[in-house]
Amino acid sequence: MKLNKETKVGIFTVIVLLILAYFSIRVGKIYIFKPPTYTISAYFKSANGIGIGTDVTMAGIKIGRVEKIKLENGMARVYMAIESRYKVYPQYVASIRSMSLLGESYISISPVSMPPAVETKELLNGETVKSEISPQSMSALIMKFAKTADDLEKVSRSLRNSVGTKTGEKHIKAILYNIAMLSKNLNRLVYLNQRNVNVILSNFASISRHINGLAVKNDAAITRTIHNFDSISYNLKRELPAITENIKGLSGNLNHIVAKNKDNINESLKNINADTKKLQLSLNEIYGISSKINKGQGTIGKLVNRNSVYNNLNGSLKGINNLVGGYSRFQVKMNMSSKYLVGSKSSVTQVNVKLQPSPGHYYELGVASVPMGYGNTFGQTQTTTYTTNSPPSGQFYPSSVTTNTTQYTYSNSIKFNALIAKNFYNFTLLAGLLYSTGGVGVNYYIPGTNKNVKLYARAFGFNSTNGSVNEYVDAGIAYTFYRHIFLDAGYDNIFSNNHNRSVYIGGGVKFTDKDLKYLIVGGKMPMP
Amino acid sequence: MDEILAPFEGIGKFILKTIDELGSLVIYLWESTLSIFRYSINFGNLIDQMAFIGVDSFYVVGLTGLFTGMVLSIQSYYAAKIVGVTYMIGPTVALSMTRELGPVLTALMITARCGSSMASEIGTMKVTEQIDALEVMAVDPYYYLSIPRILAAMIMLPIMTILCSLIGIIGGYIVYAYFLGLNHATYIEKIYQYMKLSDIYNGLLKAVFFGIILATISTFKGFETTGGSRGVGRFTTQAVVLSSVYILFADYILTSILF
Repeated sequence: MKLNKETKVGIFTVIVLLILAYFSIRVGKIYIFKPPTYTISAYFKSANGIGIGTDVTMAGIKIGRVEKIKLENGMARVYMAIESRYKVYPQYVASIRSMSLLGESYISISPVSMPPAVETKELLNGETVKSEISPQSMSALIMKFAKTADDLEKVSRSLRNSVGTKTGEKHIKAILYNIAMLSKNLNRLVYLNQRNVNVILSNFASISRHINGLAVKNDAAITRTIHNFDSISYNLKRELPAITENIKGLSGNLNHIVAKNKDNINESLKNINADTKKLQLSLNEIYGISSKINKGQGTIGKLVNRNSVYNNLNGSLKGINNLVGGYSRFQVKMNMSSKYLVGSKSSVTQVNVKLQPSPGHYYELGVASVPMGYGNTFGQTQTTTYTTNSPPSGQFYPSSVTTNTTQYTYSNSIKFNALIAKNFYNFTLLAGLLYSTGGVGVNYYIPGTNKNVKLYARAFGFNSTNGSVNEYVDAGIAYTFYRHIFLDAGYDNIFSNNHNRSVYIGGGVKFTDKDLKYLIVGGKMPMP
Repeated sequence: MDEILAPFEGIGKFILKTIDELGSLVIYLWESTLSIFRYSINFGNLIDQMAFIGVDSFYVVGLTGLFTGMVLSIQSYYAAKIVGVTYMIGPTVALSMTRELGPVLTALMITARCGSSMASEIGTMKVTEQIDALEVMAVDPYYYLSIPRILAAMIMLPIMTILCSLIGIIGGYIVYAYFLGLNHATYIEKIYQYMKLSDIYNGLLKAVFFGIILATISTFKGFETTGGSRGVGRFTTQAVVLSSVYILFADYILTSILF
């Protein structure tokens, strides 16, 4: 038959494509005509080497293939598609086996022990079959081998270290040599002394025989000795009560002696007691002294007691320090001021020196020139006038009537101040002599002004003899506005009842000792 | 001076010529592709060429595959025996054939057999001005000569590759089972176990490219032929050499891309 070209090409192509399709199906594991299968599954600790398509065999015959592998609870659940014509029973066990050294794995399902006749139920679709601990994989075996080899190597290394060295070898050689020599010597010794040994042994034998004979010979003596021992113990037993009686008597005598000499004993005991007491006393005294010293009493104690010496020294040092410090803190201030009393059109001028040993207190001494009557200071002149009247008729008149008239004159206008002042926070309390009369005062420095603004109030003239006047009280404000210069204003004689009240204004200068130094020496004042 | 410069000149000329050739080759392929849309396919010639490339090449390709497979089988046996993995001979043969040797050997054999034939046929037509006559008769030479050959090669190369690989694997099997006396079932079983579909289809994809390359170059060289019967011989040789070189070159590139 003559095929035309088209047919030839067509047939050829179709055949080749069929071949391709067939092999694609086989290689791609695409099953068009799948033999009927059922699925079973098994859990394995490791599905190492198992993949989809891995053979499942029974007795070496392929009965199915792995369908899928899932991870369940850390175990690999391997689903296997088993061809329906092969039966797998529940008591069968699946295990992963290795085909060769290079780890080609497959799953083997095998019956364990029961003969097939016993089997009743065949595994149904989806049921699980038991899995066996997979036989050691090749890599695990190799690992084990490697471990063993390691251990062996360690052993051999330590052996080599101990034996394999030159000295070890030498030692071993020496040991071996010694052993050889020893055995040789022993051998020779035994050989040489064979007769001696024999003699010794026979001697031993005869000695034991003699001992035996001796014992037999002296049987009676031994028995006697034992008898003697027996009689001694018997005597002892018999005599013992008598001995006890004797001891009793002895103790009774002793008692008697003691009773007889009781007084003597007591005396001597007393003496001993007194001596002890004396000793105790002297000891006490010593103890007292030492305790005094310890407590720091007495000269020695004080000397010995370091603490107190130290404290004393410390205290005196402190005192010295305070003293020195006091000197160093001692300040002298001076102020000169003048104020004009508006009401009486007069003025008060004073110079005060402030001696300040510490920041807490100071003394103020001063001289003031004041107008007449300032500060309730009056001179007093008493004039007595006698008037004699004729008494009216019939009545008795005293011969004279004395009328006392007191004239008050203002005494001299120079007054003195002497005040003691104490500072509390922003307040200063003053007391003493003010304008030559007793007086008290209070200053209040307004905080935050660096003591430049001062409110003050003073009361003085308490010693007034003029009953018509009250205490002289003034109050004012002083403001230091420029370094040494201050202004002063206030209200004078506030509680006066004879219209002596007056507003006053004034001012002055004040210096500290530092300024005074400069003033005296004549240098330039330091700028604050 | 010329003697010194001549080698460099030669290198430059070679590079330029190669690039020039590659350029005209691509243009030629483009023109041919266009002619499909312009004139459709000449089925008569296509069937002719398919018969020529495919059916008639069966023996050459089959023998190549057979002996290659046998050689592979026996060579890998000596290697596998050392490590005791003789069961891996089957996969070795099958994978080598499907992935590499099948497509390449088929392409080379068909180049030798059909590519040379195409180049000399078209070259002769060119030399004897038959192509000019075709043009005069308003027959597009691409439509009439190139496209059927390129398409036929494109279609038949994978088919021949399948055959080549199959026959190679069978050759390997023969050696494995009969000459070496090993378990024949293992051979086939292991091939199925280790082979993937992608191994086959990537090999076939390679074959398609080889078909295009060999047919295009062969026909192109035919069209380029000048210089009488001597020129026909020269261009035929060129066509075979160039095709083989390009096939091997493309093989490397495709392998690195596909696998």
